[in-house]
Parts: sequence; structure tokens; C-alpha cells
Amino acid sequence: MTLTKWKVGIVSCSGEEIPEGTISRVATRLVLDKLRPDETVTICLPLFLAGGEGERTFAKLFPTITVDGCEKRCAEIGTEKYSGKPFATVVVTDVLKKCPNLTLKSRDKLSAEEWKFAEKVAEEIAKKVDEASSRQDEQLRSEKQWTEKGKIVVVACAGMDKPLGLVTSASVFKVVEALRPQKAELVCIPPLLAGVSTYSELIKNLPVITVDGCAERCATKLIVKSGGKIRGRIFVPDSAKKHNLLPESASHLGPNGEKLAENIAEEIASMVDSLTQET
Amino acid sequence: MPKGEYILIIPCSGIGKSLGTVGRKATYKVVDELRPKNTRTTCLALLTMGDQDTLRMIRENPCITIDGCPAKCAQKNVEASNGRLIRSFSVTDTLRNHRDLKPDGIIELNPEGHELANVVAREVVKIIDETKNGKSL
Repeated sequence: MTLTKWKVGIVSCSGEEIPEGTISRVATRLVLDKLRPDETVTICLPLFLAGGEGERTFAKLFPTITVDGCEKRCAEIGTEKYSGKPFATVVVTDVLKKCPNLTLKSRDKLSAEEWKFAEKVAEEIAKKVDEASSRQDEQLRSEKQWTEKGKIVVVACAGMDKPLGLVTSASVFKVVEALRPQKAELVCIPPLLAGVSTYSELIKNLPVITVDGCAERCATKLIVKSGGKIRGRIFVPDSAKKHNLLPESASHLGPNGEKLAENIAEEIASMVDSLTQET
Repeated sequence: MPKGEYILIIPCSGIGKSLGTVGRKATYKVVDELRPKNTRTTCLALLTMGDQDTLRMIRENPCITIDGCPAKCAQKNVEASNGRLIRSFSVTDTLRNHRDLKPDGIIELNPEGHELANVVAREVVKIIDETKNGKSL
């Protein structure tokens, strides 16, 4: 289960060639590991080119702060080119201007002074993380005003060719019909693909939870493409592993598949509660 | 160094895994300590954003990539940029042959991670020396 609304993405340049690149990398890790571990996620920048469409949705899923070692701004430009416009950029050389007596020398083993500077850059990144988080909170409040009833949209991939695809459908039906009928609204994929405006308006204006049955993550990708606001994601293969339960086939859940769908439905319901309380 | 007379060692950025740090450390070991006269490194991110000077450099000079994970970002970025890739290394392959050297930590590697980086660096140096001795760069 992944609740996406509190996370802020941080993408650092790789910066192997210069000391400033190593500072950007270390500062990024300090934020991820120590300063804001619960609020942040990262992705390797070169994965935007080497990876697939899933990786390229990163900056659309998360407000993203890019961290660059130098004025070439590879992280900022690469992120915008492949994934989405960053929320903000921190450039190490800009921070360095505030420390006129410091000269960065090492790109491998940082001195005590260089470590201290990396911590200073990390603080700058953390400030941007806080700004992005509060921007998200504002956005969520505006979603709440639009929805009035605090509804959450649930979208399942409903993959017909895989057993776990059947589980996605079964679990969202349990949420909208039994567990949270007042709070959860089901939007199915074909009308979205067909451009039916009632559905596309819903996903643009209400928080969305996506439920995907395989690594293609069709539900998530489609919502991102359609301009929807994903606030929670369920990846059924992870849930199947966690609960050690698998359905019988693509057309028949069987007792284990039924149990898995129930567990996932509970997870979705819990996300719905969390999102409606927060909004 | 004139063009074509050095080998570029390009690690993945690997910010999410210890294996990425191992690749980066191995690169510095080669470029700064073991073969400083014949090698250089460049930022992989420059390739990702399509920097023209870097594209020219990787097309004019032999490249060796070191990847931390099976996503093989360094190799794929060099290939996608039509670089002169002569060999790609994967830290996971080296780890498979040295299971006692399990790396831990990203900012700061454990001793096993440092030793694994040394092993990778020696493998890279072997290819550099073969390339230097047998063929023109």
C-alpha cells in the first residue's frame, strides 16, 4: 500500500566528474535518510532514459525537487524532459556562493568541512520539501472544497488476462459496494480511454487511488496521462506476496483469491478513510 | 589528454542502492588511483539531458560502464547516445562471485562494500590494460 500524497520526490544529478556532484548526492541522501525520511522518495536520474514509462511518471506522481551540482542543471533539465516540471531546484554552486571561504576539492572522500557543507545543502533541500508538502496540503484542501462530500475515486486496472487482474476488480467492488459506499466512487478505465467527460472530470477533480495487477501499472499510467491526481496506489503483486495468497485463475478467484481481494479491499478502505480525514 | 587517448569510465548514478555507491567508488579508484593517466570519468546525467560536448566525448573515446543494478542505466544511456562502449560491468555480477563482500550503506559504505569496489576496479583495470596493449584507443 502506498499513500502518495505526503511524498516529495528528490532527484539528484549524478555528478561523478566534480566535487559539487558528490555534494548533491550526499545532501540528497541526508534528506532521504535523516532529515525527511518519511516524506521523501528518490529515483536515479539516468533511469528516466534507461527505464520505461513507469519511471517517467515519477515527477507527475510526486512534486519533485531536483538537486544539481553545477549550472548545467542536468537533474532539472533531465527531469523536465522525461518526467515533468520540478517543483523546485537546489543548485550546489548557488549554496556555495554563501560560503566564500570554502573550496570543494574531493569528489570521493569528503573532508569534515565538505561534510558540513553537504549538511547545509541538505537543509536547503529540506526547506523545499516542506514547501512542497504544504503546497500539497493546500491542493488537498481545494479538492475537499470541490468534492463537498469528500469522495475518493478508485480505479482498478481490471486486467482480464491475469489472475491478479481479477483480484483488482474484486477488491474495488468490495470497497464501493460494501466497505465504503458513501466515500468511494468507482471509475472504470474504458470510459476514460473513450474520453467520456463525466469520468475524466471526476479523476481530475477528486483524489484517486489506483489498483494495479501487474508491473505495467496501467491504471496508474492512465490516470497520470489523463491529468488525474493520484493520492494512493495499491500494487496487487506486493499484496499477494505480503499475504501469501494467490487466486486460482484469471476467471475464477477461488478461496485464496477471495481472501486476497478482501485484504486488499480493507487496505483501500483504510486509504479512503485516511484521505477523507486529511482532506 | 587529446581525444581518443583516454578511456571513459562511467558509473551509474545509483543513489538508491549500496551497489550504486560501489560502482562510483570503483570508478574513482580506477580514475584517481590505478590508471589516472589513461582514464577519465564524466557525469552520466549529462548524457541523460543530451549535453552536446559529452555526447561528442563518448563517441570519440572508448567507454566502460559500471552499473549497480540490473536496470543498467549507465550502459543504456551510453548505448542510447551511440557511445563507443567497449565493455559494461555490473556490480551484481561481481558480487555473485564474491558473496562474502555484501555492501551496506549508501553515503558511507561498509568495509565489505569498499573491498567489492576494489575488486570491480581491478576487473576494469584488466580491460583497460588489454585495450591499451592490444589495440589503439
